[in-house]
Amino acid sequence: MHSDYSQEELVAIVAELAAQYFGYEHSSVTYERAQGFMEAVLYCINEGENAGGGTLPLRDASARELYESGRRIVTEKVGKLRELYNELIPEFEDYGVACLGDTVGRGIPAFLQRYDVKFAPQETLLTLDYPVLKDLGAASGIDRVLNYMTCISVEQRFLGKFGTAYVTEILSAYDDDYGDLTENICEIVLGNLIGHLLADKPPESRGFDGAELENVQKMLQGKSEEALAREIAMPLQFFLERYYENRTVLAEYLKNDIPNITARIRCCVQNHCLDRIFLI
Amino acid sequence: MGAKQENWLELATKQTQMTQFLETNRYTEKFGLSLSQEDAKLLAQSRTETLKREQRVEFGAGILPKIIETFCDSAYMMQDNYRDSLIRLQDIFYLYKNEMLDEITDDELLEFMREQFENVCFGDFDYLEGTCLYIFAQAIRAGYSGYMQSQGRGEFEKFDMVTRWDKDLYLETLKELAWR
Repeated sequence: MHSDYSQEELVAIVAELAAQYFGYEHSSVTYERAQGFMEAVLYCINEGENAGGGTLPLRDASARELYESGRRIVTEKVGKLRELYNELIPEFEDYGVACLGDTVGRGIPAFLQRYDVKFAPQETLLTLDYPVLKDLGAASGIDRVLNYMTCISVEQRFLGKFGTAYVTEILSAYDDDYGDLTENICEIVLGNLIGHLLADKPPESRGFDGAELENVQKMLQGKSEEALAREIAMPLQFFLERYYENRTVLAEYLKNDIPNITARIRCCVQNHCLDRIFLI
Repeated sequence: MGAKQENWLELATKQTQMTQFLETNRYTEKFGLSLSQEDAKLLAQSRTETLKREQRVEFGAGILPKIIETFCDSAYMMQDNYRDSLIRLQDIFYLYKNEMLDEITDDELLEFMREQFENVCFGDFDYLEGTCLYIFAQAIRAGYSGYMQSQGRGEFEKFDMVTRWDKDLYLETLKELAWR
C-alpha cells in the first residue's frame, strides 16, 4: 500500500502541491500545512489503488501515476455527487425535520462549493448531522459525502412511497417536536411498517387496536433478536418486492437497521409497550 | 504513524543544496563576501535545526540564497561576520514567517527586513528581531495588509513608536555644535 512508495517520491509531490498552493511565493510551510498536503497526496493515491483493475496496472504504477489517477477519480466522484444532488433535490422532502433539511439542503451545496480536490481532498468539511442507517466507517472527503448522499437518496426512495402526510403523521406520533429530531426518520417509519407487516395489516392503514398489538405481542414473546430478525425478513422482502423496483440497494440499506430494530422490538415486547414502535 | 510523519518532514528539510549556497559566492564576491565549504555546511546544519525548532518544512534550495541576494550589499555585512549574520537572519526569517502566520510572502518579508536592517536598526539584529519585526508581526496578525501594495517597503514607519527625525532637536544640536 502506501509504504510501497519511497518517501522521496511522495515528498516531491507534496513539494509541488505546496509551491502551487502558495503561488511559488513561500519557500517553506508549517509542519501542519505540509502534513495536510501529504494527507491529500495519500488520499488520492489510495483512491488510485482502490480503483484497482481500472486504468493502471498497480504493480507498475509509480506514486505519481497513482496520485494523478486518484485525483481524476476524486474529481469524477465530485461530479457524481453533483449529479446525484441535482437529481434528488427537486423531489427532496425533509418531512419537516430540520436536521435532514439543513444537512442536505444547505450542507451539500456548501460542500460542493468549498471542497478542494487538489489541496485538501481528505477534508469532509461537513459534520453530516442527520444520521443514516449505514456505517460510513473511517471514510473521509468525497468518499464519505458521496456515500452519505447515496444513503439519503435510498431513504428518499423508501419514504417517498408512503407520502408526506403519512410519514409526518408517523413522526408526530413518535414525537410532538419531531422537527427537532436528530434521529433517522427512515428507522421510525420502518419500525411502524414492521408492525403493520406482523399484524398483517395493509401498510397504508392507520392505527393499531389493543387486540392487534396483543396478538403481535404474543407472536413475538420470548423470541431472541435473531429469531425476530428472521420473523421480520420475509414479510419485509415481500413488501419491498411489491412496492419497489430495483430494490436490491434499498433492501441492503434497510438491512443495516435490522439489528437495531429487533433490539428495540424485543425491549418493547418485554415491557409491553409495542405502541412505542408500532405508532399508527 | 507519528514517528513516520516526523521522518518525512525531516527528510524534506534535509534536502539541502550546499552547492547552491556556494554558488552565491559568484555575485557576493564583488562585495567582498564569500562562503567556504565549511560555512556552507554549517549554514545547512543551522537551517535544519531552525526549521525543526520552528516546525517548518522547506522544499528545494530554500530561503538562504535569497537572504544572501537581499543582504549581500548591506553596509553592515562584513566578511568576518558574514556567516554568523546569515545564520541569524535565517533564524529571524523563519521565526517571523510563523509569527506572521504565513500571511506575508518571502519577498515581502525580506524586503521589510532589509529596509529595517539598513535604515532603522543600523545592523542591529536584536533591534530588528525584537522591535521592528515584533511590531510589524502584531500589525499583520491584527489584519494589516498594506504591505501588499508596498511590497514591504516603507512599512515600519507606520507602526514605529519612536520619532526618528526631530527637526527642532536637529537644529538645536546644530546650533550648539556649529554656532558656538
